Amino acid sequence: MRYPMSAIIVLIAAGGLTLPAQTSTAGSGTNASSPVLGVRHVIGLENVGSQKTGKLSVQNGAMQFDFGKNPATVPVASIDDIFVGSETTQGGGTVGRVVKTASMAAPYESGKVLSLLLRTKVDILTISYRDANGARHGAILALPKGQASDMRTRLIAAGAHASAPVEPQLKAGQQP
Amino acid sequence: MSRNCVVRTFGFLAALVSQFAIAQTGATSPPANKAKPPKLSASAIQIEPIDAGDVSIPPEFRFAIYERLIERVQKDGTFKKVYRSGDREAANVPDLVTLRTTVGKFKEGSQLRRELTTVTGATSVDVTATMSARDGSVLFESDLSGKVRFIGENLGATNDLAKRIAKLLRQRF
Repeated sequence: MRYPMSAIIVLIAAGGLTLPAQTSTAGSGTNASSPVLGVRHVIGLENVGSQKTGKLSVQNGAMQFDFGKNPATVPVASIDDIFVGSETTQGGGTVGRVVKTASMAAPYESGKVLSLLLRTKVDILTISYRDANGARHGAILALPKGQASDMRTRLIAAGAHASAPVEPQLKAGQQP
Repeated sequence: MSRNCVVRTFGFLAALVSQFAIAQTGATSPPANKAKPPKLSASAIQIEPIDAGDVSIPPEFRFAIYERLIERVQKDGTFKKVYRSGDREAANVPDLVTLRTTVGKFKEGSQLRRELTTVTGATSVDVTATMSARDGSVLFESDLSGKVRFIGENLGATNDLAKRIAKLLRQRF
């Protein structure tokens, strides 16, 4: 009796987590013209920890990642390449990660249901740039699905260089 | 009679101990004979971006390996200074060594498959790390592999690889 109850708790927790995640993704997806994006920093920006979330924008000739403290800034002119990719990863943020780890103890491997429910697809934006000394950096950011191509277009329009061909995800009618 | 017995027992034990000691020496001697590569010395390292060669590997994986490697080597403190590729300050360092990494094989798995099946969907990246001196001579070369088998996103393989390369550098410097 105790085991089925645990499984039900896991399923309810999963439902509660996926609903807000889907809502927020849809919200950012419909707001495509907004210049500020909620993104996750994977690695590469100076003085920004891995997995930090913040707002990404292009302003005053620079790409800016604002995560609460001093924003990380990359001058657009220093960007020499931009790549767009995608990845299927786990949604739900930190709460999702904690619940998923806890669900490993659920009986009959019922916790694996969370893997299906918390799955989310993100765009990966990779930016190659050089600092004042000429040293190469690579910043990797996870954006809501469908937003990386827009950000790439915005960066190129602001003066960034990009040798990579336009990605196939670019919708018809959009200018590179 | 009893004295004889004690002497025999003592003799038997002495022989047993000596045999055990010989066996132990035999067991430990091969690693002792195995030539340990000499420790190298350098005050600074320059890390070059990952060369994909002919292998199809997404750019985010290449840059993630590069960035995580720099992060790891800086954290380890094996070298006084860690320079990125293209850093002009590195030109003035006399004992600079350069690390080049070439991808040999890449297999992108699936996080979902890993979590559901636990035996399939692993992501792996095999590389050859080459360390060269300022004059271009190769100091050493090693094949390494980074993997994510169970938990975590595919990019986690780059973290595993960077950890292994940093360990190799700690052993050699």
